[in-house]
Amino acid sequence: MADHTVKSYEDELTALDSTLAEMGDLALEQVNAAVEAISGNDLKLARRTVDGDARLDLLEVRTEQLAVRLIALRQPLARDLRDILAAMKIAGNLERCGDLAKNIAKRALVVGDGSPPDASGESIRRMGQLVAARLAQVLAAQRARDVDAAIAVWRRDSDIDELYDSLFRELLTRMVGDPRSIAACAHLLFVAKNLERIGDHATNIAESIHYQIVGDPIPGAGRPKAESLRSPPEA
Amino acid sequence: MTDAIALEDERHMAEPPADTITLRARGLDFYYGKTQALFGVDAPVARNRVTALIGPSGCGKSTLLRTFNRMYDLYPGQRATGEVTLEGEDLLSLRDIALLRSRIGMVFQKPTPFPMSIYDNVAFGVRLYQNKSRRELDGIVENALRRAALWDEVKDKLKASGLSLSGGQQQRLCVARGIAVEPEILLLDEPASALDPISTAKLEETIDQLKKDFTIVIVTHNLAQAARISDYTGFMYLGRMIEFGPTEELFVKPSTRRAQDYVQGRFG
Repeated sequence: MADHTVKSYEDELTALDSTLAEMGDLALEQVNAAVEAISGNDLKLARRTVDGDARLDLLEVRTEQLAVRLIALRQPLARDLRDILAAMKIAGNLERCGDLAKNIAKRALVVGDGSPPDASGESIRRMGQLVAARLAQVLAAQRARDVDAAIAVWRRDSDIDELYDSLFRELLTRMVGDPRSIAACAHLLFVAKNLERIGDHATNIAESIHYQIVGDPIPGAGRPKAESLRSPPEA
Repeated sequence: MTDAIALEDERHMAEPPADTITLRARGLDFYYGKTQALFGVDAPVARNRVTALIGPSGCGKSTLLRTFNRMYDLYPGQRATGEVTLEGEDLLSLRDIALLRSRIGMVFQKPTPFPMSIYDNVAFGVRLYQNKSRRELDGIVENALRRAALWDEVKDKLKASGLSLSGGQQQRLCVARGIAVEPEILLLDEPASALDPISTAKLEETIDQLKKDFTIVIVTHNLAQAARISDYTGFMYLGRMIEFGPTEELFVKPSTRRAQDYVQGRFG
């Protein structure tokens, strides 16, 4: 595809692209750090993660500014228009991922006491790593403009939901068996939910990539949710 | 499947429904002397819709427009082969060109009011083809000026010369003159390129209203304008119709690489 005849237009699109790439890298870093902080009871890491969210917010504002400027001044059409709209949506998704990661890190500060991680921590870590991997996958698809890779992420949405479901049951079982664990487990429930939400954002990003490249929404984009909330087993 | 996706290389025609097509070019070739300017052009124009023709300079869009009302007949050495039909009737072999020109009107890039009064400008074509009383003519002139969104500005000075109006007003006078004879088709060749933004907006609003009664074909360099006012758009390049379809598709999700490059401003 040829470059734009007006070079400054091309430069502005490149700036939008790099800002989005920077957001992706930072959001992924934040998610990984938050998962490690909560599952490893690492209070220092938790503190750094909470502080690190501000930069992500700034990048989202910058992305929006660049996008609005492009729309107002260049009247972008066709693929350029879809690229810019997708960038805005994806930036929003990434900013939310950052907020969810910060929230996880905050809970690590509340729950953690510096003691070694336990079984629940391990389950959280497993779910967290799966979610982070999914986010990394979709960001790579975005960078490579790879529709097939994006669709693959979109299809695999249900395994995260299933992990969330089993983690939920695990934590409920633990709370029923040991009331002293209720406070900590309640926080972990929220953490698990936040991770599930990050997984949803990765799926949303996949949908944006499809629209950006193909020009139509993914067929069947009202995706079914695998999550089912069941009541706890009787004590 | 990565980024090199979806776009057909050669040609894409998404025609309006067949029963809505009123004016149609099919396999149209055009020659300026020995030089061929149009190559097998298809152009399906839908009734009561605005169809825009876009493309880089020299692509043949104005040439195509001028075959619709046989403007080229005025110039020796210019000829068209193929098919151009209006409601199924072949236009290329038609003998009564004057009658054709009452069914297909044209507005040009440079406003061309006749050197006569505003009233006479609008009444001119009507007087040529029809025998109307003074009262009827008054009604026709007022109606045409109203529909061209010019009546309020000139109603108190119908005897003033058409040349005394501003550029934007002159252009709307030409539109009024064109529609006074109640043509079926109105051809507009870059009608707003000499106008300021406010006059352009007024003209675009006029076009929006006119399509209720007329079928409109507009040639324009202004992509944003084509996007704003047309229902269908045809993209031409080097004398060929490359992509044709609903305007929204061409500007949001074009099917050919050439059309996409052009509307995005990536034409090298």
